[in-house]
Amino acid sequence: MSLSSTKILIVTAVTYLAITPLIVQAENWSDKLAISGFASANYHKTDDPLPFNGEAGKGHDDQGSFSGTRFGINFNAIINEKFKFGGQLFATKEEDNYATHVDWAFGTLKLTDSLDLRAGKLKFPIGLVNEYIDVGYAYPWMHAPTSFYSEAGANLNGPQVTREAFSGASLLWTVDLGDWETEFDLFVGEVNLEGTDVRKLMGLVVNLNLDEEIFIELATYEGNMQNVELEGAVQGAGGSMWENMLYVMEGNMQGADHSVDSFGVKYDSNNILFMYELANVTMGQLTAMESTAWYTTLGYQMGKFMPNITFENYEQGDGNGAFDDDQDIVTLGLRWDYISNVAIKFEVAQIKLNQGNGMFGYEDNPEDNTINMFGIGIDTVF
Amino acid sequence: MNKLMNTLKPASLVIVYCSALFSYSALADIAVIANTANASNSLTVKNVKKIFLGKDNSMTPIDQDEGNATRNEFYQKAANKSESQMKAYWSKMIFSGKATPPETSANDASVIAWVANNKNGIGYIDSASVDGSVKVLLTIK
Repeated sequence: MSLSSTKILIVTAVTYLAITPLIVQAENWSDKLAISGFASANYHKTDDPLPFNGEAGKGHDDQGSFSGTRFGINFNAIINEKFKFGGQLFATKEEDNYATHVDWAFGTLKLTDSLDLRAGKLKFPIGLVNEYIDVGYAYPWMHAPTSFYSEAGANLNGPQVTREAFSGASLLWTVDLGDWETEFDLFVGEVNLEGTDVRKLMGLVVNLNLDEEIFIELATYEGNMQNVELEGAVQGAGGSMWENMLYVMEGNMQGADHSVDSFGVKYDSNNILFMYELANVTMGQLTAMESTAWYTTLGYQMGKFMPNITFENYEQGDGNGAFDDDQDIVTLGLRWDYISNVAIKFEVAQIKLNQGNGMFGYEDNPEDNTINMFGIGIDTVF
Repeated sequence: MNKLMNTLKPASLVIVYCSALFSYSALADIAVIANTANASNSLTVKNVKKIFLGKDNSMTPIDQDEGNATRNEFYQKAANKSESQMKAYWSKMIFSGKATPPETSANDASVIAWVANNKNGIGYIDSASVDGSVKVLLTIK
């Protein structure tokens, strides 16, 4: 045996001895740890140069945009029969970069067979799809209805149901009431929204589930807003009318309460999907910072295809303010389960601005009150 | 627009309720099996559904591989869900951190072998494949 062969043998043996404990450990963990992932690639184009649902570089405009493209990696570890831990890394397209962050990470302690205590960074349980809102494969649309689920900061679109996760704890109690599986989720914590900290957050969600076919959700939460710094807020003559308004909003929100009340119902059986959600959101006392949003979706599964239609409405303010909004969106969509774990989606939407600029921001006006948009996307889970 | 929406809302409800009247036609009986040492002698469809959807941890389920005809038949009958609906269901559960899907096995024979070796195990197979190494807790027609 040559010297070189001996060296290789020694290096191989040392390497094997070094990694053997890791291999054994990994084998033990393979029973406990599950790793999964999801990805969505979306393309949208409108017939207006002003970006919809996001600032320049983020929203959709007449140049076409891959904004909304996103992916995530998720792990769930069952430590023992009483405790499990999970987390998710998430990246979404922001201009030319992908911003990655810990989307959620929490431990679940089983106190009794029907009572779980969860603590860490948790997704808001408000809204039927909020806890998995970025997983396009899990629902029929290319993205959750934007009138109801926020995608941009409050200073751009006004208040909506947030998709940010909160830091805190949740007590989850599941009980059967007749044929209905009923889940009570009492949660406390704090969350940093764009430009606003919401502290002393407390909420309750009641979910009724009949055979995984009919779902009803009633939800409410309230918190106190602190450290409010709205981007673009300017006092006095140095700022535009909108920048002055932001300054007034900022002062009004400081120390004020933020609340959300919502109702949702879903029917998912016999090839039919029907969803309806309604929410009222307040951020302080100003009527300009109160919004109501709803959507309804009807879809029909035909083999690998699910054509669907969604109506959305978003109203902000009482209709008398300079920056109040009233926006309708009608979307015709098609989900095609192309192959296992991969869905291709198409959508054509019409956005109608009844008042204000809706989700086109406040600085400029769209060229027309009716804007058309089409999109194509692909979703996968693995 | 509002007038159009108000017109369509009742119409959509009618479609929902009418479609709910359709039912899935059966192809084969599914036997839900457990270890012979298991104290239970029977389960309801609701019990079985909860176990396989990750909402009841009293037994350890073994699933059949995706694409398997028995699997699709089982979920259609026990949960009234198609293959794609089940995939969407597990996507929700996994990516919200609420539950993870059961382990899977290739076919009826491997499910029987796994259940026979796991005292708390539960599985499902085509009822024609049942043998004496496991006991049947429920037959779904």
